[in-house]
Amino acid sequence: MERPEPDLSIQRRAELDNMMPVLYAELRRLARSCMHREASGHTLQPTALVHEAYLRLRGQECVDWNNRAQFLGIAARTMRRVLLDHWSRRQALKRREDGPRVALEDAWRITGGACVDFIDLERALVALSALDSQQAEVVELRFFGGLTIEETAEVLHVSTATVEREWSTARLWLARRLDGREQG
Amino acid sequence: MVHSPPLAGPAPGWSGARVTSLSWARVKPVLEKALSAPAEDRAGVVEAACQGDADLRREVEEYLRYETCAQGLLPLTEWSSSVAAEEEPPPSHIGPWRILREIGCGGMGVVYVAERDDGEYQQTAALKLVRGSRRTSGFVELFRHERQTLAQLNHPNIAHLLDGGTTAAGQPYYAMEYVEGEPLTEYCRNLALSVPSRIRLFLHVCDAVSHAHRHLFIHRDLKPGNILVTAGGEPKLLDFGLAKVLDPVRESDPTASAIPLLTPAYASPEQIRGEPLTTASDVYSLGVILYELVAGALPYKVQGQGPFQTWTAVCEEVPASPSAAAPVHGRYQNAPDLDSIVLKALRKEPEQRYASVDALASDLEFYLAGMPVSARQGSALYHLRRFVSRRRWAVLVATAALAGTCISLGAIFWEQRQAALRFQELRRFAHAVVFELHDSIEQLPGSTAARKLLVERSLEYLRSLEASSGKDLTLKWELAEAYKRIGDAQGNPEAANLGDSAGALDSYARARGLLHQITAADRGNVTALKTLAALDRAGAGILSASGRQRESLDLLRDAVDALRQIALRSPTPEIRKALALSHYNLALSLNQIQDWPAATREWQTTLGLFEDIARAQPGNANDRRNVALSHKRLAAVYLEQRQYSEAIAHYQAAEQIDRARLSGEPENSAAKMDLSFDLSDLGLAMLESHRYSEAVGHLEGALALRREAAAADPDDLRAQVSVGRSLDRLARAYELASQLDRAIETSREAASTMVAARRHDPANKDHLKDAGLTFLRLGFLCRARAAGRKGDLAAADWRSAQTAFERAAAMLNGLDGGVNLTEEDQQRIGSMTAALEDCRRRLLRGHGGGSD
Repeated sequence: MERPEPDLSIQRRAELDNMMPVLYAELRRLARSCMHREASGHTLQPTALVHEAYLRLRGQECVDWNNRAQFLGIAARTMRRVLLDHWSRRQALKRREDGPRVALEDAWRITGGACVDFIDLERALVALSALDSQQAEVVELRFFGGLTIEETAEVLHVSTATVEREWSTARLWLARRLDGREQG
Repeated sequence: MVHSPPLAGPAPGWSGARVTSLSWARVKPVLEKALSAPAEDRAGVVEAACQGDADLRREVEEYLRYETCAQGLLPLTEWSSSVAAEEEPPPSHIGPWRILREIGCGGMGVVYVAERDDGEYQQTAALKLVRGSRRTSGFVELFRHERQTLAQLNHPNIAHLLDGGTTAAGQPYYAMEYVEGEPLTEYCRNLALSVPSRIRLFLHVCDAVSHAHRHLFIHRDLKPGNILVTAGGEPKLLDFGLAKVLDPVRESDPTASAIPLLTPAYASPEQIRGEPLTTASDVYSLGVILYELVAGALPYKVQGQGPFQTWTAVCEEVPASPSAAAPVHGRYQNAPDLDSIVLKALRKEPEQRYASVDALASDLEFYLAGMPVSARQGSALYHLRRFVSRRRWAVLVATAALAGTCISLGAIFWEQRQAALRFQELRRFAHAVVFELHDSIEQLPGSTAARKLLVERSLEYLRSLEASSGKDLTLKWELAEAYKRIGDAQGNPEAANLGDSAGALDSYARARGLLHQITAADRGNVTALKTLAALDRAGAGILSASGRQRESLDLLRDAVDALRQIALRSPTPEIRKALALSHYNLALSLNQIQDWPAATREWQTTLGLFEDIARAQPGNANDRRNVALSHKRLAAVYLEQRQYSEAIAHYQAAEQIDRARLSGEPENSAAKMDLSFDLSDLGLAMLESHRYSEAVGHLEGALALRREAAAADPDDLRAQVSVGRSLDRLARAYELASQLDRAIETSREAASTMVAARRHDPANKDHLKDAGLTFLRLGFLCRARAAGRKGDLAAADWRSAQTAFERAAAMLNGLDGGVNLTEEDQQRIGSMTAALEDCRRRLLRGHGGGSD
């Protein structure tokens, strides 16, 4: 089967490719560090997650890869989408098997030791984007893409001060929201 | 109002799920202000921003309680900042090294020439300062650990590792032997070496890599830049084992590759995919280097392309033949042969490559010698198979290297079945896998799963190899030995095993079949006979342990018969010894099922055979010990059948031999213990045949020997316990010999010896039992003497008896199963309570004189 080649200018493709090994390694570590290690064999392995994100990125046509930050933003979004798709597939499978609806395998370990279910984070982000879409984008880029404040600002065409403000308040919002899930 | 900052999260009792009427749009600006204000101004800022709206203020404060908790919601990685890290100016010193100059800089870090600066000795080193490594803490420990193992890599073509640590700023560094030379490819190009010369140089590299593989090191980053050729033409490998140390993800996945550290052009597909690495990965990298040496270009068109293209090419593209890629003037002889060697090393699937670096090297040697190479034989099949499936073997990470080797073996075997050369090579390799690898992992804790995998894979190819072994006796022997080892791993009860008794028996049966073929053709094959005897013992052990005593005996009888046949035809000392041992094992099994008449016959035969052997070689102490041992075994069987005079005669024969052994070697503690056992057993036999005074003499002799042994090693608890037991036995003998005073005296000493032993090992139930039984004997002895005494003497004995019984009861009642008690002991314990009551009654009745 032929793989669709991304429609990229030579220069941009080279730019993308130069970042790939780094991105690849970092995506892997990202996935590795946050996915629950005690997961049973059914979970998406970090490597598989990265590969899928990788392939989707390659398959994206007509994307304006105008700078590195933009590319990283797309990588972050792709990663999130891969995880969501994976989660949905697992849920479908579980319903058929009449198993528990949300299992611990989907839990994410977040820096600092707290454990958050991926789907709770996802739902929180969806809810946040309804309240404040820019803020949700900041979270997505910082959280799934690991972008710095500066890179996030570049992707969103806003100032770094804005990103900092959005990020710090978003974290409070998320912390409260995710904690409410645990208690409610 | 000032917030009390939450320590790790919200205060208890907070209900976060509450839906509020306040919109985020109103809360957020206040939060922004609060967060950007200094902590001490915050309360005021919030108050001002809320403009008296109490609901808003409460909501804002509620959010602010989450500040600590939110700190944990940092971005998951900080990776992008690490990429942009600024270069630092070169330091003047690193650890004990003075930096002389920078000689290189790459993705991995900077390389300096450095000199030892502590005046200890003159040494120049290449010092690498590692950049981009995530490892900071723990690096030094890991490095030290690795260095110990790396020190094993003593090979002229591997640069020595000298030192390593972290800088004051926490950056890892390591120093290695400074090699002045050119990268392998440049060296060849500059000297315009011919293809055969290049291959000969490359073979040195193979040798070094193979050496490292034998020490279970994978290089992971083989490339021309890591192989420097000195002016003398000697290649040196750098950085061996260090990719692993520096790998940032090593903790979670010890063999995972580190993408930023490797050079994509030389990385194997599995390395790029981040899969567990095996030695096959190094074979691949060597293949790329070889390709470059032969063709003058890399196998994939990576020039001017980014690493991503390389990634795709490495994983998906089949490279062109090196001869097609080589410039016209660089054409070489027998191109198809060399091409197939290079391409075999470069196959995408690790199991399709050469099984080892040695295999690659030997094919190259065949090529240089103009002989047919193995790589050409499997290539058609290989291309076909590539389309069929891409099987993935689930392999334990820790055993990946091992398993990869075995899997490759199977694959190679099927391809190369008919190729005689290949066959030899496979044999050599199989030998290495089964013998060296198995033995090297056997001692590792938790290696059972690895051994199982090894066993399964090994069996696959062994069965195939067996079918075509023909008349090659050496091969048959190797196969038999392999089956035996596999059987041992599967279920030999004498070693750590996988609990697969059926599998073990099957493997043993196959080994036995092969060994019988060998002995049929080569009657004097001592090694085969020894293996056969060991097999039968192990097999019989498995059968016996699973309650299949009859089958176990049959197996042992088979062994006896086979050996007797051979011994009749060629009665060498070795064969006679093997035959005697097989009788010995059979007799032991007959003892177990208590078939005393049959056991007696077997022990007689065993004894006769060992006597013959000892007669033939009078100087051999071990042979004489075997004779003594057989005498004792036979005596014990007579004793069971109450044939006392026969038993005593054989014990005496054993005693005589062991006494002679000891006089020859007075310091031999094993001989001393043997003799003490002889005397002790002889004493018991005498007791049973009512020859009490003789019994006392022998038991005193046994005790004296044990006291000597215990005095020689006061820390040997077993020696102390054996003294205690000997004393207890002697007390019994004195009692029967009507020397009651000496009996009590001896019994007291037995009891105190046992109590002392117990103090050293309070958890030991056997010691508890032994101590209890000695007190029990002491109680009965005192009671017996009290009955024959009057007045105060009687009262004192009654009191002693009571105390002894009480102590015995405390100890023996504390036993809750788990110890073996003889029938006699059980009877004595059964009468203990009544005896104790008797003592108490007597003492109550006024000093309990023995008159009534």
